[in-house]
Amino acid sequence: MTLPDKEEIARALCSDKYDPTTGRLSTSLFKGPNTSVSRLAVIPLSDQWRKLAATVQKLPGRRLEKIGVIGVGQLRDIGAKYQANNKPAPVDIHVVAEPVASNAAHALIQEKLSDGLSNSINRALLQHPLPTGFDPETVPREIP
Amino acid sequence: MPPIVESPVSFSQLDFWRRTSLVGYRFNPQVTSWTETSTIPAGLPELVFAKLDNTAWQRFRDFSRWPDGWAGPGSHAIAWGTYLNLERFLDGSRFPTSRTPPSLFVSDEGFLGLQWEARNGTTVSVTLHPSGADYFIESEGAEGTVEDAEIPALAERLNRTLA
Repeated sequence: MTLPDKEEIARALCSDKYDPTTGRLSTSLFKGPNTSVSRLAVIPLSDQWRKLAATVQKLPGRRLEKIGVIGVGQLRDIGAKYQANNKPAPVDIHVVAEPVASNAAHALIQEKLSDGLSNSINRALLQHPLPTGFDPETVPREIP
Repeated sequence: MPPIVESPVSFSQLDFWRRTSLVGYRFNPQVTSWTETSTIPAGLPELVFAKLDNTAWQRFRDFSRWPDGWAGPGSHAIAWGTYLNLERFLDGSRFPTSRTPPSLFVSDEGFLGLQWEARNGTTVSVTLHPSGADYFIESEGAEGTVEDAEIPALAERLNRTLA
């Protein structure tokens, strides 16, 4: 099922693609293809923290640092207006529901995107810091 | 370019890496394919520290230990060719010491990314992989891919453009 433009999706920002020292987000964050995201319409942001911490922290050193949120419509709009090498290079971005056993809210951004387009999405991302008192290291890990 | 030793790191180097592990670094018993014996060009850790500073060096040390599957099915450990191309790029790169050093990232494919800001605050990124490098220079609206033999020229281009 293709997600409607009005839905919002969450992307886990982990230590491999977020540098907490500089605040930089990697241009590979949305590069894909098949970038995993989580639907806020299925699991609200307040409950995403434990869900994402349990599923993305598969080994020590990979830590959930933040959650980034963006609307599907906004994402698709950024793709449609993208320019690469100073020429229009529109990308028709599709976000589809792909529930898995460990996360009913799981969805995929299907396309492989360029570093430049991924960077444009990074700039539009609303970044949520860890809630006060929440330590992702204490969440039991779910490893498929 | 520093000499490249095409062999696994020595026991003494492995011991050094173990002894200097990050504080709080814990072994996860659920990870069964731990690969502390990843091959790394002998001079690369020193080059990373010299060019990128301590934060990137610590991240490099972390990432280099992650095995296949670290981000789920289809994710990969860093390949020898990626390390070689990182070494090629860093060997020819100059980053102004007056600015925040580049950040180091790893992609799900095991590619190593460097990212920093140009003087005007726009993003520059270079992603090293076994066959070359992808680059993105926001201020020029430029992005593309070069083969491994062209990596020194890419480094020089970025030195000239961004100095």
